[in-house]
Amino acid sequence: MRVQKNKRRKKRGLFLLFLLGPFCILHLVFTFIPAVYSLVLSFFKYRGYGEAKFVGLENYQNLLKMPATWRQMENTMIYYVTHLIPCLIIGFILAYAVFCMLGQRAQRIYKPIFYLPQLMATVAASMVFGVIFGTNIGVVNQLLGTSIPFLTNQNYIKIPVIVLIIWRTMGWYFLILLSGMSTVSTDLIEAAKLDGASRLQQIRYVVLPVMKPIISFLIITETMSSIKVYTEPALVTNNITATSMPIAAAPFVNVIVSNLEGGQFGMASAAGWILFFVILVFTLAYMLLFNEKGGE
Amino acid sequence: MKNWKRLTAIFMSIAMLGTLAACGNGNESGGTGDAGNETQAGASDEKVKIQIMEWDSGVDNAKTEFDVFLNTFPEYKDKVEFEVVTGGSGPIDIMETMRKMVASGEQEEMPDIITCNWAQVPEYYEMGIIRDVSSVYDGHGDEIIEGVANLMKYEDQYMGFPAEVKTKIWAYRKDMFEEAGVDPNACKNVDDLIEAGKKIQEVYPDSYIENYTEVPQGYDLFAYFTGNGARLADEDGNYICSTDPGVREAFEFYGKMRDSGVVSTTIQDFSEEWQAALNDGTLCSQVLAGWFSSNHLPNICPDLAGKWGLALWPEEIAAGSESGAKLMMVNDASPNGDLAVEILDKFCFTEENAKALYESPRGTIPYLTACTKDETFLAPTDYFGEDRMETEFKAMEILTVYPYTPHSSQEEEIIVRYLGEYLSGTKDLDAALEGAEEEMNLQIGNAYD
Repeated sequence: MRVQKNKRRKKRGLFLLFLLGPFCILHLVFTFIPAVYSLVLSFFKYRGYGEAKFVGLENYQNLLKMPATWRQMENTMIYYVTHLIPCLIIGFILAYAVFCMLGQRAQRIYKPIFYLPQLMATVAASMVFGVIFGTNIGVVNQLLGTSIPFLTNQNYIKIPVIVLIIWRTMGWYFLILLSGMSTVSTDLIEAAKLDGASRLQQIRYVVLPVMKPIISFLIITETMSSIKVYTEPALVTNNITATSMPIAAAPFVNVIVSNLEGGQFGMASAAGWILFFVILVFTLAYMLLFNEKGGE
Repeated sequence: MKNWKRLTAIFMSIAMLGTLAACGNGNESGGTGDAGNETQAGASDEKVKIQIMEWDSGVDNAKTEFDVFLNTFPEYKDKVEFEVVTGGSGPIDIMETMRKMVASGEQEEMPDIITCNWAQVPEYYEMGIIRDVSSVYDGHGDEIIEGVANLMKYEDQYMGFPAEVKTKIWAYRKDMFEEAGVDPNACKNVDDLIEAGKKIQEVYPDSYIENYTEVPQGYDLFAYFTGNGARLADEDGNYICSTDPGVREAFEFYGKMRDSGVVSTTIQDFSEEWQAALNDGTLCSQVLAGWFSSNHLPNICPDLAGKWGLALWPEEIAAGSESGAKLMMVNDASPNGDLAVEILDKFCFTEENAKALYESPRGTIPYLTACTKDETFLAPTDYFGEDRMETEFKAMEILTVYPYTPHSSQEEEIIVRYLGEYLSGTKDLDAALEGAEEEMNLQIGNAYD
């Protein structure tokens, strides 16, 4: 009996290893080891050739001393906040409208329509936005009857980037929030209606509390990806020949990219770890916030 | 059900292991890293494969040029096969790839011929992966235009062969300039340039002689630097941009030009608007480089053939170049190094190929002294008339290059960003220059370290 039990346990262990082994190996080789290597590298000055010189925390200190680092972090936060809030609000309104007012058949039509921008290649979308926001021949300026230099003036340069990010990510918010709404029991809504709750009260006291886990998931995953934003500002504001992204538009990831391009592998690694800690802090803060409120 | 789950799990595991195995085989099955292996294994069809790494926009041009070479020297058709591969969107991407390959000890796997701009030459020299081709230049002596030969030398080593010499050329609308009574050759300094722009605007009020936005181009700034002797770092590698008079003057030049109203502050180079403005006369000139007039203008404005002329930059800032030149360098560890040098020597420094390249759709300019007196090159062209090579040859006589350092790409990125800050009014001149210097000190340290 015991032998049979042991055999079964061994088999189970082997099967588990068979299932998890490949992933663990891939994760170790392509994520964990490079991460440790980059952490070590962040304490060195190294160009990829010649000797690596140990500099301790100098890379981190220099990065934090540079005003450009803070400007680029500020830009990242602006992109993050200015897309998160409108996307959450508009995405929720759209999802609620489609879920409560239009029915199942309409959902099948609206889901792909709203999600379509997310499927479009970022490079293509960014280039199109570069044309749309052109000063003299751009669609936006022609519609407004103005000549606002959206792409060449540092005061306006973030606008096309923010509009592009909102346009691209709105569909994702809509889809997640819509699927979250399907977890709200119709019985609950009906009960609220019978109790005389208005639409706003239904949303406030029934829909939102039930959807809290979905909203927290959406905010946390979006935070993780949004703080790493790079492609959209790089492509909208930086044409093929430009030497550097204008500081008014450059996100923090640009610090990593420009150091990599300049062969400062240590500095690039240090910037990468700073970014990692920023994302970690935000994620932990949100997790704490949502857990705390969830427990109330 | 249980079996079904197990089967799915087994299938998933096999797929993941397969992915892992495929990753391990990457270098043997494809990608740019297999150049060396394929070159030597190319014996199957008895042709040697010479791999050339170019950036995106240069790939098709290089293919055309090496086809021209094979037609000029058909004896190579049975011996050599050229493969032009892309190394990214620009020379900095190629540099990044090379750094990584050197870091992983794959120098032999690198392409036989690597292209770069002059700005990257000091770093390639420091890496020690480029073949010294001094013997080629010693052999030719003064057959090669002096300015061009000098450009190929860094420290004690001839680094490679000219793929494109980046002369400073002012392209202008002849018809509009004539009507406004402006002679670009009479412009001596920046004030004359502004005066010329104002005269044009008297006749064409909506026309500009240049376009400088708040998102400046590195090539504009460094072309100006070569004309006024500006330096970001001194010979010991200490950054001096806040005190160097040349850097200050260059920043002031852009400010002055923008304030004068003769340049457009909203049209960005290479944008859709730029192309439209060049065609409709909103931009009536470009104080730029030879590559613009030879590679771009005839393609962007095909209907304006005969209306564009070429001149040198105003006399006081005419000398120099726009980032020196684009070079073709030979990988020192390439098993086909000797053959690559032999081919590039014939490619660049034979009159037959110089003529064939010039007459090809590429219209590549020659680098041989003999060509400067040859009617083939001096004959008027459809697009620029007599100006084409006459101006290029004049510009080649005054070629100089900015003293780039091994950290040039980063220096350029920083200084151009701060120029943008200055032009946008976010920072005044002193703050912008001090900011740039501080950032170079913090991010790079010493220019030669």
